[in-house]
Amino acid sequence: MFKYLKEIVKYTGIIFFIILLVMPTMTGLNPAGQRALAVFVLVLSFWVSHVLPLSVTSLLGIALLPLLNVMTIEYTFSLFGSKAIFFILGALILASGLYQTGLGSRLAFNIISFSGKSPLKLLYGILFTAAFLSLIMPEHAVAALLFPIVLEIAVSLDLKRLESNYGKLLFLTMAWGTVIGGITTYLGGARNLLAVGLLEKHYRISIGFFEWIKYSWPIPFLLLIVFAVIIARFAKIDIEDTSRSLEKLQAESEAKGSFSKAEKKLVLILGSVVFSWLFLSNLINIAVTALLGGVLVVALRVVDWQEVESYVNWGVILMYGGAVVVASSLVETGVTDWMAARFFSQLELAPFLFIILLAIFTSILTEGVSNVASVAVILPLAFSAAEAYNLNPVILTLSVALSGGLAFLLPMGTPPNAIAFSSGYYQIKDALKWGLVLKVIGWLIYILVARFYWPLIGLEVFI
Amino acid sequence: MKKYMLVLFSYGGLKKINEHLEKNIKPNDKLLLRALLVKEAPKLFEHLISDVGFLGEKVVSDVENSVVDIYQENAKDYLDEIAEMAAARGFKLDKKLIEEQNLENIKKEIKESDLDGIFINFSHNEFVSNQVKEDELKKWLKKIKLPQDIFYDGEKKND
Repeated sequence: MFKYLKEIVKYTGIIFFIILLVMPTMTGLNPAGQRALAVFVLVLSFWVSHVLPLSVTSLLGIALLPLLNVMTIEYTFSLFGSKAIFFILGALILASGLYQTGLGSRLAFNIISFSGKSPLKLLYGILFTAAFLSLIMPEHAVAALLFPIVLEIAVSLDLKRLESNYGKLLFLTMAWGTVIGGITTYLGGARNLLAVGLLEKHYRISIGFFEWIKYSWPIPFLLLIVFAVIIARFAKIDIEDTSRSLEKLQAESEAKGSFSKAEKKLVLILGSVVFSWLFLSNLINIAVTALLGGVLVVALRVVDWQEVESYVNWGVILMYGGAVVVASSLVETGVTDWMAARFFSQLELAPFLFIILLAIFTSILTEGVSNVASVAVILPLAFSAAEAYNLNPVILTLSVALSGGLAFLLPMGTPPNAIAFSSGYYQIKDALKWGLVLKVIGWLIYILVARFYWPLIGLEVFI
Repeated sequence: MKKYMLVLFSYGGLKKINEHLEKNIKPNDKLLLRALLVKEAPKLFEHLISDVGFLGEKVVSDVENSVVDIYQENAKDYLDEIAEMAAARGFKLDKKLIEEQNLENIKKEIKESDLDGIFINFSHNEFVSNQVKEDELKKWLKKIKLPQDIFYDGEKKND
C-alpha cells in the first residue's frame, strides 16, 4: 500500500510542478514566486516519496532554482553557507569522536549498569541513558550505539523475538528515549538548528544554545516522566529478574578498563565546547565553536580523519543545505507573503488553535517523512501564518521543530525507530499502540508548555 | 509416513510454529527444516544510509552486523530446539541452514522431495526479510499446487 501511495505522491508532485510552470501567474504572486512554488512542490513530493535519496533531491532543488530564474546562481549557492550547516558539520565530527573512541558506549554501560536486578529499573536505565546521550550527540548515533548493548541484554535474558513483552519494551524504550531526548538541544537533532537557521534568515532573530534548552526542556522532561509512569503502571513486564544481563553489562564495563588517552582528550574538548556554547556564545558563535571542536578532535588525534569519514554521512550536509535553500526561496520570492494573504488571513481560526494544529500536523507528517524534510516544508508555511496573524515567529519555530522531532510510530519516521525495529523484537502494531498514546500525551504537554510555560519566560504568542 | 518441509525466513513467533508442528507432525513422519541464514540486511542499510538516516557507513555496518549476528544465532538455536522436539516426539528430522541466494536449490528440493505439505514462516519486517523472494516463492508454490501453511512471524495467513 505504501508503495502505491509513494507513486501517487511522486506523480502528483511532477504534475503540479509542470502545471505551475506553464500556467499563467496566479494573482498576487510574481512569476519567480510561482516557479519557486513549483520547485517546492516537486522537492516536497520527492522527499515524501523517496524517489531519490533525500540529499540528491536537495541538490535537485538547488539546481532548479537558478535554472528557472527564481534566484541568481550566486545568491542560491550562498544560501547554502548558513551557520546551521557549519554547526551541524562540527557537531557531527564531535559525535564521531564519542562513537569511535568508545566514550559513548562507556557512558551507556556505566549508566545502565546502575539499574540493578530489577527489570523495571533496567528499562529506566535504558530510557534515561538514551535520553541523556541524545543531549550531547545525534539521536540516531545514540540509537546505533545502544542497539548492540540492548540486543545483548535481550539475548542474555533469553527473550524470544515477538513473544517476549519485555523484549518489545527494551527496544521501544531505547528508540523513544533517544527521540524524546533528541528534541532538547541542538546536538540531539540537527533539525532544531535548521529551524533556527531559517528563523534567523527570515526574521534576523537568533536562538542561542542555552536559550533553546530553556524553551525546550519541559517537553522532554515531562514526556520522560509520563513514559516512565506508563511503563511502571501499564506495561506488562513478563520477566522477574535481570541479574544475568546485569552481570554481562558489568563484565563488559570492566573489560573497557580505565579511560584511554583519546577519551580523556575528548572529555576535555567536549567540556570546553559545551562551556563555550552555554556561556560564551555572545563572544564566539556556536557554529564557530562547533567547528573548532571538530578541528581539535582531529588535531589532537582523538580520532583520525578516515575514522571521521567512516562515521559521518556527508549527505546530511547536502540535505540540510538544500532544505535551507528551497525553504528560503519561498520567502525571498514572496510566496510566503502571498500564502499569508491568500490563505491564512482567510482562515477563521483562533491564533493559538492555529499554532496547536500546526504542531499536531507537523508531528503527524514527521511519522512518514524525514523530520528534517518535515521542518523544511512546514516552517516556511508557518512563517506565512506568522505574518497573517502577527504571531511570534519564535513560537512557530519551536512548535514546528519540537513537534517535528517526536516520531514514535513508524520505522520510516526516524532512524532510532528503524534501528529498534530491525531487531525483530516487535511489530509495527506494538509501536503504534504505545506510540500513539505517547504522541497524544506529547501534544497535551506541548499545549500546556505553549500556553503556560513559554509566556511565563517571556515568550508571547503575539508580537 | 508423511513428509513435510518447514522453511524459516523469520525467527519471530516460533512458539506458534512449534505448536503447528506438534499438531501436524506425527511420530515417524519426516520434517525437512530449512532455516535461512541472513548474511546482510540490505533494506535496513539503504534506509539508514540515504532514506532517513544519514548514518555513516561504519555506524550502519555496526548496526547491520548486530542484526545479522543475532539472526544467525537465532537460526542455530532453533535448529537445536527442533532437534530436541524431534527426539521427544519421534519424528525424523533433516535440518539445514540455507543462504538466500540458494532459493533455486530450495525449489529444486521441494520438487524432488515428494512432500505432503510445506510450512513457511515469512516476516513483515522488511528490514530483515527480502520481499522479492517472498513473492517469487509464493507464486511458484501456487503453481505447483503443494498444500501449504504460510505464516508471518508465527501468525498463520494462508491466501
